[in-house]
Parts: sequence; structure tokens; C-alpha cells
Amino acid sequence: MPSQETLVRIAAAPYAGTRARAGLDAALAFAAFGQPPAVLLSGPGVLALPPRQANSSHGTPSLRKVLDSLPLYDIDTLWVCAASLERHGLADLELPAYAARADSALLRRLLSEASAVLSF
Amino acid sequence: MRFTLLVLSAPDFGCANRHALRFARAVIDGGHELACVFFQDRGVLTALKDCESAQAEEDLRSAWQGIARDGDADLAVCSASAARFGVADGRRADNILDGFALSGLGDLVMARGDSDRFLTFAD
Repeated sequence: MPSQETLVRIAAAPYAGTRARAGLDAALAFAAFGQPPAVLLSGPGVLALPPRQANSSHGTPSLRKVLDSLPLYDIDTLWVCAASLERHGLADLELPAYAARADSALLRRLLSEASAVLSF
Repeated sequence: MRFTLLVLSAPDFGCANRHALRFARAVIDGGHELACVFFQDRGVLTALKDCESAQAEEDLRSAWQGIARDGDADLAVCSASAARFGVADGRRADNILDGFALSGLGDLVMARGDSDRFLTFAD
């Protein structure tokens, strides 16, 4: 990640409220203005990743679909906290092709080198 | 130094909204500049008119209006979140307190680029 990039960190569970969706909206806005940020999923935010999320039960669109569409908007860096995946039983989850696991050392570097961190 | 604050929590829930207010006041009192306070998600409820604080409870909404006056700061309310939470209907701002203004997420992008420091406040 270039050191001057904005980092949008989403730690909210995908369907516990509107926070995670607000984070993705902010990331897309930065991209629309030619400043595509890096996105980091951590904590319960990683629960947006499992594929085949059914929409009907919670009445909101699948955030996984939104995550999959981010490269279309030039957001081509999706970091996923490895420890959070493990904590939520998703250690073996196949990530989107453009995503990468971040260990604690990398997380520290991402957070310290970003020009701004938006935390959702 | 120029600061932009992103506030995601409602004034009547948790501590983050109050912490943001305290921080904004410290920025102004410290002689720094508050470029923008951007309210998104449930934070937009800060701008909602006709809400009364309980007796003996600090009125955070009027305190934010004081920040707008004293710091000459933009209190920007995300229009998409405002529509979701019933604070505004499209570009109509009838329910919004004086001192606040409807904005788009593009204003958040601009404010971030125009600031030396960017902080998020959320519960």
C-alpha cells in the first residue's frame, strides 16, 4: 500500500446495523473522486466475506456482492485481518481474488502508514 | 493545524458523539482550525430538529451549534444517511438544525484532502 493512501477500516458486523454499509459507501465515494482507498476488514467486519449470503432473511443486499464489485471502481486492495478470520471460524475461507490476509505486523504498518484512517 | 472529524454515533447513544464534541472544542480553544465535522450513519441524528434532551442532561445538539459559531466550522450532514434516518428528504432540510448543512460524501473526500488530521468517532 502506498504510504499516502486513505484506509477505510470496517470493523462493524455486516448486518448488525448500517455502519458497514456506510463504510463501503465512503470507500466508493473516495474512488468516485479519483482517490481509491485501501479497504481493511477486521473484527466482526470479516463476516461480510462468506459467499452465498442469503438476502431474504435480513432484507438487505449482500455486502459480499458489494465487496466483489470494488475492483470495478478501482479499489483493488482489500486487506483482511487474519486473526479476525480465525476468531470467527473463517480461517480457511477462500477470499476474493483481490483480497489478502494481513497479520498483526502488517496491520500495524497499514494503520501507521495510511494518510488517513476512516473507521466504521 | 486543520482537522476533519467524522462522527458516526448518535448524540443519545454511547460516548463517541460527546467525545467528538469535546475534541472539536479543544481544537478551537487550542487555536487550530476545524475544517469540517462530517456526520454520517447514525451521527446524522445530531442535526435533527425538535429533539429535547432529558433534564440535567447535556444538550449536545446546541453544543454542536456553538462549535459551528465559534469555530466557523462546517457541520456537514451526509444526505444519504439523513434520508435513511428521516433527518432530511432529498435536498429538503426542514428537519435540520441551524448551523448544520446537508452534504454529499464528496464533501467528506474534499475535507479529508484539505486537512492535516482526520479522526473518526464511533461507539
